[in-house]
Amino acid sequence: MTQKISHDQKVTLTPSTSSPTTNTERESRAAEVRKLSFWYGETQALKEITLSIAKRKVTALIGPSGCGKSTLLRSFNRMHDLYPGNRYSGEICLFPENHNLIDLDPFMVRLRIGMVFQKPNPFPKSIFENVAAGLRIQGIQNKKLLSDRVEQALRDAALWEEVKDRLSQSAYGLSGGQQQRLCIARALAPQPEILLLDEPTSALDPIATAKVEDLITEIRHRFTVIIVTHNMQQAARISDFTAYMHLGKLIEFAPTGELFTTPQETLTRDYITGRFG
Amino acid sequence: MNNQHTLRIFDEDLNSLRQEILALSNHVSEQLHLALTALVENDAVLAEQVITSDFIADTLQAKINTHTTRTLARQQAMADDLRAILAASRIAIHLERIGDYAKNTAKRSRHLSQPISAELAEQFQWMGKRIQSMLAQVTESYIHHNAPLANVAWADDAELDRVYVNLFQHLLRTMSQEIRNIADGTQLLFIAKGLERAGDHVTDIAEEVYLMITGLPLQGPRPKVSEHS
Repeated sequence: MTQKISHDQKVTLTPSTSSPTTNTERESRAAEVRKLSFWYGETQALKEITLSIAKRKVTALIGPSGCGKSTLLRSFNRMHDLYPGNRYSGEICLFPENHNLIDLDPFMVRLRIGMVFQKPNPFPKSIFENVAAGLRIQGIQNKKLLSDRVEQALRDAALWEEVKDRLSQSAYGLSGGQQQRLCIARALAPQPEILLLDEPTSALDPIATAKVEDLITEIRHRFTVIIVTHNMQQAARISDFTAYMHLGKLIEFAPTGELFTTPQETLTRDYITGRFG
Repeated sequence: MNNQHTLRIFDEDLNSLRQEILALSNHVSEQLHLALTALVENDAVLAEQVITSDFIADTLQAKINTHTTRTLARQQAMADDLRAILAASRIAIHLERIGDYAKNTAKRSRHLSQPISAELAEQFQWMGKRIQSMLAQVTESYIHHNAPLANVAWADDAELDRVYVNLFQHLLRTMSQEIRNIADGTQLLFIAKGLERAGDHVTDIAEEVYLMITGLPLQGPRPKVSEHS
């Protein structure tokens, strides 16, 4: 089934019919990508990708530039819908309902799946309002509840101690590393089922990078994380599973410890060891 | 390895490591040969040469250890590169220990009261040559990434153990026949045990090489012919 993206698409909540899944499998997975292909106009960027996203684990997507890893990541929160001419086929099913998120309202998808980008992009608002933004969209108005959830999100993002005395100040006054952790706090505040990280440390110095990596390892027990990174050592350090992609295809998907020590595919081995392919 | 790293200095590092392992392997093989020659020819001067040359193995092993540590820190190796670096570090330790057994053979040969019999000389020389042959196989296997050859060397240890057991029993019989044979017999027992242990280290190297090449451990129990070995 190939599906064109429509901006006035109806919300469909029918369970996916393909790949029946047992209850136990559903409990251990946050999502499953099934034969997902994607086209930017006439250019096919993803070719029948199939992989499972383990629940409350970190899954890393690695591969050379143009391999499709960011395209795959952005499919999870329907970013591609923002541009005309893009189309999908296949499914990304969210568990436990087994709903194909490509059939869901993008707005509903983004309430369940948060995203953080390569460069920090705080809103031109206070630190507090940045984190509260998603909560307000969820309809939370109670000041005490808002305040508690903002504090929890800032604690989850390991930023609370640094900003607790200046919550009303502009987010632009924070350093680059702090701004990125603020963006992570903003994404975490609505308690997403899946957090998408698109090269979240590529613009940060080593210390700020270590802080972000540390917070990812802290939150992994409560959130499902999918991270795109060019830094293989980062993938090796913080992820539980790693997918290696090449020219729009999934070449290998394995527990991180196995993929980085005994890759089964020559393409994977050549990439992670830095050889000419 | 059928293609090169984008970062050429990484290839140079790995090639240097291979050359250093080759040099250490050749050195301890030669030391073993000289030590056994000193034993069977009752040559104290040659024995002294083996003893004083042992520092070369220690120095080469330390150099490989430093090199592997620096390569790990600088290149952040993955997959077969990571296994190659870890293997080099561990293989160097085994080779250095084989060098120690050669030195020990030379040291004990100086304490013998008389030249050893032709029959014993033949058995000791056979053990030495078998160890050298196994060492050559695992080294070639390491250099050329030949996993089946590592397997052959690994299996060859059983024959070495068999000869050791025969030698052990022969020496026990000799010592039980004449009390004046005990002093020399004890020295020879230690030498024989050292050679048997050197064979075990080559077997360890074969396992390291196999794991380095394939990413898998060698399967099955080690070939052994007797609990005495």
